Amino acid sequence: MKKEPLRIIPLLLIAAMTVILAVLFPTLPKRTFSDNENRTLAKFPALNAEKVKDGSFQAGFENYLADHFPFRDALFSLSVGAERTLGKREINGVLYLREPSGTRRLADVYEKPVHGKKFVQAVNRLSENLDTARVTLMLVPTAVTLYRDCLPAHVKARMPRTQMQLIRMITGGKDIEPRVNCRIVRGVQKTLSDGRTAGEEIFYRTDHHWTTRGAYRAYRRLAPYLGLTPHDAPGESLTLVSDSFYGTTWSKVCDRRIRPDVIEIYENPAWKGSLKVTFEDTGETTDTPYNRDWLAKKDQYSLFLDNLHPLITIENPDADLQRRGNRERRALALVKDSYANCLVPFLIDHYETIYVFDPRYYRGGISTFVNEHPEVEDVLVLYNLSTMDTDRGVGAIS
Amino acid sequence: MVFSSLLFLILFLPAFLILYGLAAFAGKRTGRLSGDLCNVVLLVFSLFFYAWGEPLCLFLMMLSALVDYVDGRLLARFDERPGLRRLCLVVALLINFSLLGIFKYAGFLTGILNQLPGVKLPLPGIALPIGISFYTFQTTSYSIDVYRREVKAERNYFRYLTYVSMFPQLIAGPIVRYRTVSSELTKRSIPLDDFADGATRFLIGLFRKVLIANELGALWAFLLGQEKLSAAAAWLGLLTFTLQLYFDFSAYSDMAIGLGRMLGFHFNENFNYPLAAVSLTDFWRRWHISLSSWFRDYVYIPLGGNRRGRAVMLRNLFVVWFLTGLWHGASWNYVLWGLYHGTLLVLEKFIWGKALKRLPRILQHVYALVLIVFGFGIFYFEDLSAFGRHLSFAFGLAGTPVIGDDFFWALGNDLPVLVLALVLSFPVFPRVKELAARPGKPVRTALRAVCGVLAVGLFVLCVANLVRDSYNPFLYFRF
Repeated sequence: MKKEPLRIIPLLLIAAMTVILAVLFPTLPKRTFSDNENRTLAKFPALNAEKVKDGSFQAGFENYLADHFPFRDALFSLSVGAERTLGKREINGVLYLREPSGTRRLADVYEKPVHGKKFVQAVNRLSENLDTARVTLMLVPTAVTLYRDCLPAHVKARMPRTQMQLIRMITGGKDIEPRVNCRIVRGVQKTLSDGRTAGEEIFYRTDHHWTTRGAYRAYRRLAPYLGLTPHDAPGESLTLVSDSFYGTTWSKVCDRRIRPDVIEIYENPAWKGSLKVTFEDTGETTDTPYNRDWLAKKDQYSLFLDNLHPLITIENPDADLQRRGNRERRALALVKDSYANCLVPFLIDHYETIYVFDPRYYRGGISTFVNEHPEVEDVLVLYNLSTMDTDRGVGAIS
Repeated sequence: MVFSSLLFLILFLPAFLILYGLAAFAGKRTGRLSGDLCNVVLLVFSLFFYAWGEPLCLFLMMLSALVDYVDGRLLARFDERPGLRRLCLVVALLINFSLLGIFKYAGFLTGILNQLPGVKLPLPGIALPIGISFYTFQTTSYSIDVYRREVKAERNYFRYLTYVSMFPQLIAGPIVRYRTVSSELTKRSIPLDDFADGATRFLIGLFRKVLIANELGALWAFLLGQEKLSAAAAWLGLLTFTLQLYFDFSAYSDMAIGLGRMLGFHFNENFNYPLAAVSLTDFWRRWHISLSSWFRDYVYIPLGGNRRGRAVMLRNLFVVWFLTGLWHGASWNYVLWGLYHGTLLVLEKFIWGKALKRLPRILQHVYALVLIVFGFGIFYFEDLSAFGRHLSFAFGLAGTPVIGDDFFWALGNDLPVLVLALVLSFPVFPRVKELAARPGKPVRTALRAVCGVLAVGLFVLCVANLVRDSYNPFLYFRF
């Protein structure tokens, strides 16, 4: 022994850490669900000769070990924090943006178009299959587009295709087949930009969704297409329900240096007791489009329309029909991703019935349903440009 | 199983070291050969280590070891009969290389034969057993050494199997020869100093793999994924891959050598700052030394080396570099890479080697590095047309700019790790140690303390990174 305690002590520390982790792993209680990642964690794999032979037990065990590793979330934050400290501009598909005011916000990278064509085909099919209802398409750019001036330098290398190019592809139809054969809500990007210029938070800083204020702007833009006279700016009529929201984008980096978001909602006091919201998969009914139970969990955005349901029926006997020019057919069908969930409340006061479809889960043919319900005058297809392009469920839109 | 996995670091290694330590302790007390009990622990854990990833291939590895063990016994028995000895060796080599041929090269060979008119063989579709190139070279080196009477045949199959399957070096080298460890297999001691040195070496390897090689791998993957590259980014890509391969592979050797020392074995060094070479001749004295020396001792010299005239020597070089390339993978690009190096070595030997030495040192480094980096371009792209595309970017033939967003984006994200990798590719550490040794104790103590804190911090960071992405395969598994 060369009398060098300084050499041995770090090694002993590392050995001790290793042993502690080894002991903690089997003894610590196991979680079944990771709130932060919003996914079920791996279960201990089934052990039999066949599974060992083909290696699936071993792979399963390593997943189990990684998923239930002691201090997993803290270690994850540490790893990401170290990269951030070394100046990485993109971590786990998340870009760090800095607004001129100095505010930091996160945005998901926009990957290149994948299913754009499939989406257009599906919307066209829906349009063709409908007897009398007409389709209106609204495509919403995501935060990387609205805040493109705040993106890190040279990000063009990472995102060579912009969402606006995709929109032009779909709507302009200059050299792209097929063209969309229904009405398209134009100027969404501009209306959101105006909101941003006016100092509103249009997107959450930590989530991939737009805010209720962003949705409100879009609703104003949408109104003339559906023949609506929109409500006035909500201003103070929005209710603050959370100031501790960390969204899914944040979950990929777990960076506590980013402040949490606030969530606001729009509520009409007249709904209480008279509105009927039916979740057709579970059969439950309520009198509000919000489920506040979610506010106690990590995934607070799910408060809007209670997260995922194949079909939700919203009936409002007190609808202000004048604001739609007292038209005969008093229903709307909405085909959408989660962006629409915070826009729906603004539409509730215009229709006696709104059918809200999530085509990823609804099985039975949306056009068949609409044709069987002649009171539906408009079908609104509402997607953000990232989901529309990457979500495989869009094929089921028709 | 790989070293840089949570399973290995947190469960396998601690369990193994504790049992190994107990075995060593028990061996001492009962006065038996200290190797034996330890060997049992080592063997059991090694077989488990290998079987974890490839349960069925375990039998192939044990068969390969058995063939050479039996061959060794026969060579010893037929000590007086050169003809029979020769036959035994030839049979053993045939079996070994046939296994390697079937499991590694059958698909490649079928593909070549199918190019002939009228030939249409079905592709065999055999998955490459991990580490087969490494252990085949190990076991054959044993047979040849026994044949040459350079080492005594092992009597105990399990001890021999312990040597072949020893998990520190089983799947990605270095190619440890039996004669290097034969005496330590029966009797070894592990002074605490050695153990600490080994553990330190292991940690250094772990840091180099997880914190540098994996990071560089992600950068290279990003650049490869681009539809177009500026010339600067194309070159940065090749440099990144070169650094990644070097750090990945030499880190594995670091960990193997470190683990070996922790267990009482002394393996030979496998890398000696190859990217700091001043010529390609120099590079091959520093890169994957255990492989190049294998080819030197078992192919080049037996073929006559350089003692039978220039023509024979050229032929020998050609054979060696063809095989060196082929060893790395069943694809033409590896052969091409081998021949590229062979050709440059010949040119250095006969044409410009002397002139090169008269250049300023820095230019020699640039010369070597550019050729090495370009070579690893050949090495990387199994599809020659993809390589052609990459080169057209690198030489500005595809109409892309000299420098662009892709280059700056890459640097903006990974400059620290690139600089660190480049600096550590040169013998900085030994130099710092030298300097620190001079001024006396306080500086050295301070340096030790800093390194200690750094080591603990980096270890936590490694674990954190592994938790973050459980996906981090070693590059050298393919070989």
